Amino acid sequence: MTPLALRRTIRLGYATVAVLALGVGALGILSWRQHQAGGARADAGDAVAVAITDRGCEPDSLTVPAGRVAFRILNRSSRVLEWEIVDGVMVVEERENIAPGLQQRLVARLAAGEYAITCGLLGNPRGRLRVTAGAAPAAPDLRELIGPMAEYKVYLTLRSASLAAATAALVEQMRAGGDAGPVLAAAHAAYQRIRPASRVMQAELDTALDGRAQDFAAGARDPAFTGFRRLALDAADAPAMAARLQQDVTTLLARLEETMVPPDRMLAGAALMVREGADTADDALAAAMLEGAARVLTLLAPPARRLDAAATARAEALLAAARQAPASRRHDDFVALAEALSALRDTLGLR
Amino acid sequence: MLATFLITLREGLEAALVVGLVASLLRRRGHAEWLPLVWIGVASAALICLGLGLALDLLSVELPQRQQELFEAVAGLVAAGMMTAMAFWMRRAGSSMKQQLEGQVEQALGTRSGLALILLVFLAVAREGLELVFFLLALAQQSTGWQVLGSALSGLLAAALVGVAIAWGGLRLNLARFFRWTGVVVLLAAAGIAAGSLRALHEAGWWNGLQQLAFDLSHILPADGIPGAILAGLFGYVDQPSVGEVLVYALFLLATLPAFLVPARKPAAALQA
Repeated sequence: MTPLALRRTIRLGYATVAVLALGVGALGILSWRQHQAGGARADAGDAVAVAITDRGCEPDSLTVPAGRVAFRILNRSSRVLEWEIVDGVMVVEERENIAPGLQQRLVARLAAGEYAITCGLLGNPRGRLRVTAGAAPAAPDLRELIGPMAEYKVYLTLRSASLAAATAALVEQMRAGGDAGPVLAAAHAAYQRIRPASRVMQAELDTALDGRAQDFAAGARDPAFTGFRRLALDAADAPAMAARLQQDVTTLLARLEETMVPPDRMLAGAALMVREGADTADDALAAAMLEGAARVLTLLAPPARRLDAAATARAEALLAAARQAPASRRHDDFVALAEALSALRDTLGLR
Repeated sequence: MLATFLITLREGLEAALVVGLVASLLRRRGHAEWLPLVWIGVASAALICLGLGLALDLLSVELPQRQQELFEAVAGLVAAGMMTAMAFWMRRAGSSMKQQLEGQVEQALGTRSGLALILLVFLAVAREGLELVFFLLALAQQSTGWQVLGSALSGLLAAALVGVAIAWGGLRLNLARFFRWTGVVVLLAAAGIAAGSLRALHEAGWWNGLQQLAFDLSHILPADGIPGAILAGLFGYVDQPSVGEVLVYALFLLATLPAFLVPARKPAAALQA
């Protein structure tokens, strides 16, 4: 490196250090003010306290609910210690360098099961930590959610093909004239099966395809009111409307093909669709919505069941009830199912 | 009080050892003009750690333990590799300096090895820095008085002084000896870092084999006593190591030390004299 280049590098280095110092200074002031305000450790009170003495843990057996658990580890021994939560030989969480007389906080996300806790010296007996399946969800193992995501992608691809075919049939029928009712209903139903994905991932196209007249400023006469419901209400200009619809479907399917729908969006989309569909009068359309929602629930139920079996069973029971219920009870059943689907987002720790 | 002092001393020593050696090495090679880069490496690593610690604290986010351990393991393995390379490079340079013509070997310190030394300094500080920042932040929040925090900071100061002493002592040594002995020290420290990386991998959940206790010296030479803490800081001493850690330490030294100590062209007697 030439002296000139070296000098330049050094100058650059000093500038970097100066910028870093300014940033850290600002962070330090912010942090100090927050601690002055006393907000930072507001939840310190609900932490599970464990004291470590020279002989072991006090108490030496803990029971906590699954999910996010805060521990307050107080070192009452005479030595610096390290505190670990151990599953077999695997360290799940640990906090190092707890000096005698001091306490430290550790927050762990724990799944239900039996764990051990270390208690200072290796010769000391280990403590027991029992984690019970509780209302508080543990973090989902993301690996468990990749399978459902991939399967849902396959499902979307298959259902997209059916929707494309149904839409093409609809356009054909409109062009030929005659009673388009059955083909329109079939295409609308085909759309409901993928609607959990499009409702949240492509909201604008979803409005163009399945928007309800009452949601537009000028109602059914609003120029922005297009899609399946517009075609069902008003036969005017039907071939052009159908062509527009086909174009929107094509765009939507192309975009969905490039999208991976995350588990949280799957559930959110299914819940939205079911809630918005609570007042559907058409039995076949309602059944198609439940089919779309059922796919999401079937895929995500196994990981959700491990975290909260009761909430999962509830959603499954509500779905079964909604499928069998007569139209007169549809509103209440759909609203309850939408809420149960939303609740699974919390169960899976997704929001 | 003493305990907090020893914790920060121990954590700081490893970084101080590396920084001190690199600084004295650069000076001996007549590359004092590179020294600002060393301080830049130290300062930016320390500031980044401090900033990260403060940011996580501000957001009330707990330190993600696995990621931190994984970082420590990877940084440790890279540092151990670089330190080994540095030791052998010093050995080669030392043996080629029969007439102790410092200018002659100046070109041995090319731009790349110089920058590698700076990176090594950065890694050494960043590795211990994050944990230290969290320790200090926890202390600052929990202790009512300034005494505990003061003893923690004086531990750091003591570590820095040791680093200065190493750099200064390195300057006073005969050049050949300097290369010889600092090389051995660097290899011992690298072995400790490599063994520590295995422990970090275990704590990150990536390695679970060979976890049986190899031996327990915690009653004879506890790692949180004064001599134990110093040994831990410099050479990665652990009072209750696992079989895997002992194996890594031993295999590392077996693989590097004999090769390093075999005299390269120059008679060893002259060096040991």
